[in-house]
Amino acid sequence: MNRFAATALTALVLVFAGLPAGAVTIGFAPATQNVPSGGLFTVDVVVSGLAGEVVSAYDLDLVYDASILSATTVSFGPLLGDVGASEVFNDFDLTSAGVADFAQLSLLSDGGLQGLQPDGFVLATIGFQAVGLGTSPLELVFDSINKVTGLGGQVLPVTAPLGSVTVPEPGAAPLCLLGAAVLSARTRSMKRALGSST
Amino acid sequence: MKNRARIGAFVAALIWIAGPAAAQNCPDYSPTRNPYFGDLHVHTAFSMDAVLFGVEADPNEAYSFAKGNPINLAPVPRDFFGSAATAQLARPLDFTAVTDHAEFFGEFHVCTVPPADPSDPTEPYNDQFCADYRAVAFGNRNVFTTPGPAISVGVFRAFGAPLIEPVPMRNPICGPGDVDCLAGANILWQETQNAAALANDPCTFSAFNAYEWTKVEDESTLNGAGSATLHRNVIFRGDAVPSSPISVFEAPKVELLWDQLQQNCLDADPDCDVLTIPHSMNQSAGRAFKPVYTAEPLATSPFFAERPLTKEDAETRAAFEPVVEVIQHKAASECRISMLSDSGVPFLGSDELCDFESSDTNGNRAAPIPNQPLPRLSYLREGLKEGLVQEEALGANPFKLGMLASTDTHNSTPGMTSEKDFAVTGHTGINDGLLNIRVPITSVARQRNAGGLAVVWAEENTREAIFDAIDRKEVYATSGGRPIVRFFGSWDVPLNVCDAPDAVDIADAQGVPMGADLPASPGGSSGADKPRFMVSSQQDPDGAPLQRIQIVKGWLDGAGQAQEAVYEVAGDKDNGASVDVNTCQPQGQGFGSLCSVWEDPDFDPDQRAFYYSRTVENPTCRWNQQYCADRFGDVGQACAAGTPQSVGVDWCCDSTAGHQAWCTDALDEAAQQGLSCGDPGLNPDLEASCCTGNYVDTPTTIQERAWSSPIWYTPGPALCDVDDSGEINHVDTQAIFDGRGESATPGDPRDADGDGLITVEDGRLCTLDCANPQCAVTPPPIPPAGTACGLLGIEPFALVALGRIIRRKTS
Repeated sequence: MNRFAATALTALVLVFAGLPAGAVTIGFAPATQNVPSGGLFTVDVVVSGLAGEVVSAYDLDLVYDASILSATTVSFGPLLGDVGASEVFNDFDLTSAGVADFAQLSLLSDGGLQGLQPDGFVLATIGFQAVGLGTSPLELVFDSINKVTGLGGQVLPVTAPLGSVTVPEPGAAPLCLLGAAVLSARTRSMKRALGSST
Repeated sequence: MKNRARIGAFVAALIWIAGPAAAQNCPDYSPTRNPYFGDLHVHTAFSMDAVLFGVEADPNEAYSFAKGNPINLAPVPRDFFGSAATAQLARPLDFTAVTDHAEFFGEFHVCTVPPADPSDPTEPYNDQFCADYRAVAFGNRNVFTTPGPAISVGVFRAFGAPLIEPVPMRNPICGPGDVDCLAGANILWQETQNAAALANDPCTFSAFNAYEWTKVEDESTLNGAGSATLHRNVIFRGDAVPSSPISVFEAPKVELLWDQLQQNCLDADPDCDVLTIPHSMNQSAGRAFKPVYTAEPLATSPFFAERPLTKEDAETRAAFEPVVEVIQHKAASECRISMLSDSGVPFLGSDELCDFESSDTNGNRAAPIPNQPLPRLSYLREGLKEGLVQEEALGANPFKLGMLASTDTHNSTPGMTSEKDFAVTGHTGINDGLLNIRVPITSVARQRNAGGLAVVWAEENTREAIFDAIDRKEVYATSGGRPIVRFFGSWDVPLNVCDAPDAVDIADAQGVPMGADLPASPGGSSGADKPRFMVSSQQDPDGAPLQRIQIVKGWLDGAGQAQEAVYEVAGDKDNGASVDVNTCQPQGQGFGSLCSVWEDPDFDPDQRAFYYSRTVENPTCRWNQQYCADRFGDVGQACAAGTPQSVGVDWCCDSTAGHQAWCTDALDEAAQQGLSCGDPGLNPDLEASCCTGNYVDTPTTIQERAWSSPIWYTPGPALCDVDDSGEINHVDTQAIFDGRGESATPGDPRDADGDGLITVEDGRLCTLDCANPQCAVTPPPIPPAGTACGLLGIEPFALVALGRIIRRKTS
C-alpha cells in the first residue's frame, strides 16, 4: 500500500469512526476526488471495521455515471488469497456501462482468512477514465446477488457510504489553479506573519 | 365419365399444387389426454399354433372383431361343453395390434398354398412335414375329423423345436438359403400390413403394423422339461416398416433383434419407428430381468455368451422397451409371494396381493407345483428394483418399464377379457374352447386367465399419438376391466386437490404423469421436500365397485439394497365386500371412485425410487366359477346333486380337479414312454406334483385390478457437488462462482442456501464443505506396486517365463 492509500485509508477509518461498533464498512479511497477530463485515475474499494470478522467472498456492483466515467480495469487485493496459489477465484465484468461488477471467492478456510486479514484493507482497485464532465457518484449496490460473506459463509451486514468523482469544466481548471495559488500564497504569508510574531 | 375423370384429375392437381392440408386434430383431441383401451397381443390364423388350434379367422377378422363385430370361433363340440360358437365384444376397442408369430409365416405359406403342380412329389408342399401340418391344422377346423392330440403335439413340437435352439435353423422345406420360406414370410407380412392399413381409421380406431418375435431359451434348470419364454411383440409406429419381419431365425437374441430393428427401421427410414414389448416374464425362468447382455459372439462357435450390461446396453434396452405386458392369459407377472433369490435361496414376499393370477409353472412345459418358489427376476417388481441397482452402478436403467396388458388371444379375439365370455370362448381355439383342459400343451385352469387390456393416455386416437404415449409410458394395465386411472407425481400438488372439480388438470399442470420422472426436489438432496402422488380411479361401469388404491414403492437403501413397500392410500381393504361363489352375486359395498394425494412419509432424497399405483376392485367370480354358476345355477346345490360331475366338469365342485385331470393325462403320457411315479427318469416337477397329490388349488374368485406405470425419482447431485463426482472440490466451487446471478433450477446443487439464486454465498458455503484444503481435487489412488508399469501387471509372469526360457537354454 502506498503512502497515499495509507493516508486515505486512515482518513476513511477516522471518518467512519463514529459508526456503530462492529459495523463493517466498505467505502472508497479517496472518497471524493477531482480529476481532469480525459484523465486516468483509480479508486480503492476498502473494507474496514472487521474486528475479527473476515471477508470470505464478495460480489459487488460499483455504479457510476457512465456519461462522466468509464471503468477500465480491476485489480484485486491479495487478502482473500493468492490467485497464483489457487487460493481464490477472481472475476470482473466491465461490459455494462455505468457498472463495474467485480467478485472474489476465497478458497481459504475461515481460520486462514482470519490470520491473513487485518481490520481493514483494500478489496480491489478500480481504474477509470474521465470521459465527461461533472460529478459522478460512486455507489456500491447490495441486493440478493451482490453481497459480502464473512465467517461461516454468512452474509455480512455492510455499511457503504457513497463516494464521488468530479471532473470539472476545462475553463474552471485555471480558476481553480489560481484560487489554489492565492490560497497557498495567503497561507504562506500568514505563516510568515505568525513566525515573525513569535 | 371422361369429363368427370378430367375434373377429378384437375382437382387432384390443385390439391397437389396447394400442398398437403394442415394436419387436423381429431374431434376428441385433448391436451390432458384421453384414455384409450386396446389389445397389443393378438394371434390369428397367421400364427402356426393358432392354426393348429383350429382357428381360421385372419387379421382382417381380428380387427373387425376389435371394432365390435361378431366372429366365428374354432369349431368345438359345443353342445356338450357349452362353449360358444361365436364371440362379440360388448364394448369395442380403440386400438389393436395383430401380433402373429413371425417365425413360421413362410413355412405356413409353403405348407398350405398348393404349388403349380400339386402332384409333384418333390414340391415342399408334399413333404411329410407339410402333410402332417395340414392334416392337423385343417383337421382341427372340424374337431370330429381331428387326427388326435398325439399328432397335434408332434406337429406342434416339430414347428416349435427350432425356436429353442441357440441358433434356430429353418425346416428343410424352406429350400436352399431358406428362399422359399423367406418369400412366403414376406407375403404374409404384407397381408398383415394390408389388414392393419384397412382397419386403421384415424380418430376412431388405430391398427398397428406388428408381429411377435418368439424366442424361447432352453432352460436346463427346469428339470429338463422347461423353457424360458423371452417373446417380444414388435410394434411399429406407422406404415414405414422393414420389408421382412425379423424373426428369431434372423435374430436369435433380443439384442440382435434390436440391432436389426435399428438398421432396418430406425436407420433405414426416417418415418420408421418401433418398440418391443416383452410378455410372459413369469415364464422366463428368471431371464426376463437378468442384467446381462446375451448376444456376445463366441469365436469358436456360432453360439453366444452372456456378459454384464454396460451403460450403452442399458440405454439401448430402455430405448427399445419402454413398457411390458404385465398380465395376459398365461398369468400375471407383476410379482410373486414365493420366490427364489439370484443364488437360488427361497424367500417369501410380504405383499399378499401378489397371489393374483400367478402361474405355478416356471417354464412353458413344466408341471405346476403349488406355491413353488420361482426366480425373482421373472417378475416386474423385482425387475424394476433391479433397474435401480443397475442404474446406480451403470448410470442407466435398463428396466425403466411402464405397464400395459393384453390378451395373447389365439382366437383372433382382441379384447376378449371378460371372465364371463372367456369361460365359454377361451383364447386358444379348440385347446381351451373345450374347457376339459386335456390337451397336454395346456396347463391347469389356474394357469390361464382372460388376459388384460392396455390403456393409453393419448391426445387423440391415432397411431402416432398412441404409439408416442406408449413410448413415454403414459399407459396402464388392467386385468381385463375398464377402470379409469390417473397417477401424477409432484412436489407441491395440494394435499386436498381431490376436492377440486379440476383436480386432474391441477395435478397434470403441477406434476408429471405415470411413466415419467419426478423433477429434482426443489430443496435439493438435503431438502425436506417429500414427493406427493395424486391417484384417482373410477369404477368400470360394467365392473365391480372399487375396494382400494395402493401405492407400491421400490427404492435403493443406503446400503445399495433394493427394498419395497406397499401403502394403502385410498378406499378400505376391510370393506367386507365379497361374492357368493355359488351364485356369483356380489355382496357388500365398494366405491364408485377414489382419489387421494399421498405424500411419501419415508422419502429419502438421496435414494432412487419408483412408485406405481394399484387399483383393486371388490371380489367377483373368476372365469371358471362364473362358468359353473352360469351353467348350473347355484353351484353348491348342483354339486350336491352331482350335476357338474355327471357332465365331466368336476372342477366346478373340486378346485383341484383341473390339476388332477391334467396329472392323469400327464402320467398317462409318461407311462407311454415307460416312465412312472418313482422312476428317476420322470420329470421331477411331475413327481413333486402329480405323484404326490400336491395339486394346485384353482381360485374361484378374483379381485380385478389396474396397475399404473411407475413414476421414478432419481436423486440429483448432492448439494455443492455440481459435477456429481462424489467430491466437493474447486471444480464445483468454480462452477458456482461462474454461475453467479443465474436462477437455480429445482434441486440445483449450486444453490447451497436454497434461495433460488446462484451467488457468492453459495460458493462460500460450498467451499466450507470441500473435501480438501483450498478445495483441491483428491488425486487418484496410486496403483499397488507391480501394476503401475504400464504392462497390466504381467511383469512377474514375464520374469518367471523369462527365467524358464533361460534355464531351458542353459540346460
